[in-house]
Amino acid sequence: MIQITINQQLENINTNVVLTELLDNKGISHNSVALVVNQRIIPRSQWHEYVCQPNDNIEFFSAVAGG
Amino acid sequence: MLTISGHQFSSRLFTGTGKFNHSTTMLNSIKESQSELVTLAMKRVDFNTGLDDILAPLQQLGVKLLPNTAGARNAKEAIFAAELAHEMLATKWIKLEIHPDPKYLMPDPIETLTAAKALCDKGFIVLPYIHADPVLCRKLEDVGCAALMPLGSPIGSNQGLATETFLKIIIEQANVPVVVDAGIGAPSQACRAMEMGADAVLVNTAIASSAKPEIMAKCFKQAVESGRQAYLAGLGDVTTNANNTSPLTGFLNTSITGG
Repeated sequence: MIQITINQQLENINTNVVLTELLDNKGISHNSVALVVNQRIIPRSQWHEYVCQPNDNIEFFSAVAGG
Repeated sequence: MLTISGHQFSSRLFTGTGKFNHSTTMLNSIKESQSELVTLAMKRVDFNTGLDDILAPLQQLGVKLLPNTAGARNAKEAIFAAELAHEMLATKWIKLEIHPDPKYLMPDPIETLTAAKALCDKGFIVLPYIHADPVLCRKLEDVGCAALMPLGSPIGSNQGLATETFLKIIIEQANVPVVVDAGIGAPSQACRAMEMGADAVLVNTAIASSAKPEIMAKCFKQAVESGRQAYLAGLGDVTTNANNTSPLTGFLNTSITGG
């Protein structure tokens, strides 16, 4: 297990988990979010190959209503 | 047709998606408005409440999405937000808004110009939300902004065109479309902006906060169309003195004295 931060909440996850698996575990559609790891935007094309590291700060952003 | 950065719009009414009581009301209002460009914001996903189901239905409507950078307090954050929006929505269009002051939400002109230049250089289609400042507007145009979005009055205030004098100067000087954004609180105010020669208006609160948003959306559609037609037809001159519209021949005087 490793500890990471997801949207400012500490979480323990298995080792060797990639970002697409994180999304699937959260039940989040891949089409509707952008992912930031340690203040760096990870392109969608790299989600399946980025392996979460201990202490990663991961942020999920989505579109919301706004003017 | 209105053209912004090569994209044509039949409707000159842009709408925001915020503040509606229900997403169905928001979607129906956009349909009634016939708006073809709608704004969105972004935020961190709250896993307790889940994702807003806003994106898919908007995409089904076929409207063009204009993500904004609301929440950014400086150029660096706004540039990051624009790149986030590009990654999320696969669009280079961005409504650049940087307003660090939560009370009046006044846009920061210096940070906005800095961010606009950087984003234009990166190939973004930048529509900056700014104060109705004609000098700033020229500078934003010089760095490559696709349109200008000066405010009529503070965001969500429904105060209308408090900046009318300066909007007229901006409209006169601009070589890119001018979209009057923020503060438009009534269809008559949207109509007025269009009569003045604005290329489009962006309306959110006035529709969303109405007791009947769908009807209000349609009213704005009609007002914008009417204002545009009036602008194209050409308004008459405003004068201090009266100018008679009927012949003043004095025939009644003759008739009375003759009787």
